[in-house]
Amino acid sequence: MMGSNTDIKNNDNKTHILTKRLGLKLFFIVFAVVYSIVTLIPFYFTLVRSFVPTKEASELHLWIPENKAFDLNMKYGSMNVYYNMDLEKFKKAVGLEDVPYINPRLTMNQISEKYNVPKEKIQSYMASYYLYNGWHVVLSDKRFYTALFSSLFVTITSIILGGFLAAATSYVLARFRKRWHFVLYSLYMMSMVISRSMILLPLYLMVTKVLHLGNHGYLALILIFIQGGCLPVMIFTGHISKIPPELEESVKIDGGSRLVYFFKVLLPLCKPAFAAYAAIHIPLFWNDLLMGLLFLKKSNYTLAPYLQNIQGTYTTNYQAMYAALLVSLIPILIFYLVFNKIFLRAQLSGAIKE
Amino acid sequence: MKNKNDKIWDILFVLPQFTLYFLLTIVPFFLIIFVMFTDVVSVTSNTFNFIGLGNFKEIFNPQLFPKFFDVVRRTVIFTLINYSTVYIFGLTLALIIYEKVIKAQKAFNIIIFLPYVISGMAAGMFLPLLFNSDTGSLNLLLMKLGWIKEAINIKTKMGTTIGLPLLVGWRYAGYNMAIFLLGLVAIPQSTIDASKIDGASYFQRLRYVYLPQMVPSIVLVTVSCLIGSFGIFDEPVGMGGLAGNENAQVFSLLLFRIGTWAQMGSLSMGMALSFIVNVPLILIALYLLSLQKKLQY
Repeated sequence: MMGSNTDIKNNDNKTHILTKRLGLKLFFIVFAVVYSIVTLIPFYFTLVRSFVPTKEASELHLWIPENKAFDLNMKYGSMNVYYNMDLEKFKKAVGLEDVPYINPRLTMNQISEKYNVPKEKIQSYMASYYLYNGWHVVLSDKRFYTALFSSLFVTITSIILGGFLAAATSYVLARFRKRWHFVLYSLYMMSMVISRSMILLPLYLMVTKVLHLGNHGYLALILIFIQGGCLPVMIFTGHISKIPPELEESVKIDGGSRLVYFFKVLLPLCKPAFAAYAAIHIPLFWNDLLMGLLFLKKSNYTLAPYLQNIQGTYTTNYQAMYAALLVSLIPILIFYLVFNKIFLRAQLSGAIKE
Repeated sequence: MKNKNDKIWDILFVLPQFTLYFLLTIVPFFLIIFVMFTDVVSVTSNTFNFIGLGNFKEIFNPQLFPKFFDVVRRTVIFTLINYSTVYIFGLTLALIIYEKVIKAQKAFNIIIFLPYVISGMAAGMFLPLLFNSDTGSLNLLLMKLGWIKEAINIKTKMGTTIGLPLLVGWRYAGYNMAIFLLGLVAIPQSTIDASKIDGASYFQRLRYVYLPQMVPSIVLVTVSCLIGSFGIFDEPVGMGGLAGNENAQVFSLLLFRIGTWAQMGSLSMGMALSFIVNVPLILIALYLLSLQKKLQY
């Protein structure tokens, strides 16, 4: 009798725990799914909106709008605002460049009748303009390509030099043989509590007045990026401290100097550490805004300052703004998706283990 | 002889990067303490005089002080809400991955880090894209579905106060998750099994087994959030902080405007302000880091 009572009780407990655990699992799954959807929504809408002209911006678009036939009753004057049109280009395309002034209150119908412009010409011009205006504006902007190449140049140079310097520093600091090694390491760790924004004012002063690099924007930027800090030094020292010292001994015995050991043995062994370093810092350098705004001029902006600069120019040209936004995202996204596996493996393999 | 040779090599390897680090981080850091007692107006001034506590008097001047106080208060509120998102997003995601609830781990990982690899400015521009009162896509969608009656205006005070920390928390979710995961995988499985045998519920396990053994992660995440929140720049700029949106003025934007656009004060006053706000932060951060040794098992 007692046995069956406890049996029933145990079964109740088991189902109770099972439902609790299932409930928790369900919560986690729902959270993960909702989080994924919420994360992808902005990217999706940026893509869609880059094709939506200003005229239709206050309507909901769940996909790229169809290329509707252009309504020829639109007034000439409102083309500027609703379609962000460059009216000079339009005039040239339909053959009206000799006409200095067109009454903005005329509709396109009336213009085609008054100036003998075939309606099909206007329609075909607007057909491609309607959806692709933003993309065309961005992709034909010379400053965009300058910004793109600037970013590429600064990022690639900084990653290579920064990784090299961090490896050199960590090669010495990793074993903590002397007290000054430890002092240096602690100084690098200080950067954990010093953010770039904290020292942006004195850094600005330092670079322009003391180092006279105010006119050498790229150099200033690259030097700031490769100076190291707590993360690069932690990554590389963590990795190098696992390399057995016998390796260096054997190179010494064979008559090689420390330089030989560094270049021929240590650097090749540091590839996983370099991968972890690159994974964290490539997005940091590519997306940097503050340092670019401080030290570069408008003519040699990198991507993020360029994006900030056009925020003011394209306040109503949503297509151009979101097209520019997407184009600034695409390179880093491609890079991230392609190299994700390598970086993930490097990160988890303990290159950042402390 | 060998030792001397060694020392020379040591110095040669360390010198290049340390020179840069010294000139570009350590010296600027201590430069604040020097310049804040002078009257340097901007980077173009060529002379300076020592004016003692003059900058500090100017900061507490009744005309300027409310504006500074507003910005700092806004940043503090931002930091507090941002800190909660560290756990809401970062810890939950870490637990989800740790308990292996999701099968598609790799894809989920890519999605989590997606906001991190895009620029902060782009992320900041997502908010007006989705929530602009006239054209925001998410506003339109939610109104069409009937979930909300009126558009959520992200540029109002309330909208930015809640929206910006959520955005930043979403962006750094992957970073925080990675730190929490490092702490989680270090917990010995035996303690977890013991708690399961003792019949602990999941929340009890979380509170009494997981979290106490994750103290280094918690400290690191807190320090990063504290220092980082006062330093965020990109996301508020994406929300129009440099183009007139007063609600997005956080502390680093104020410093930027003082330094480069010469608004609201001289360069040396900006440094004094930076000193006043940042020193308590650093002290708190160092205190937390020192606590770590005491709280650890």
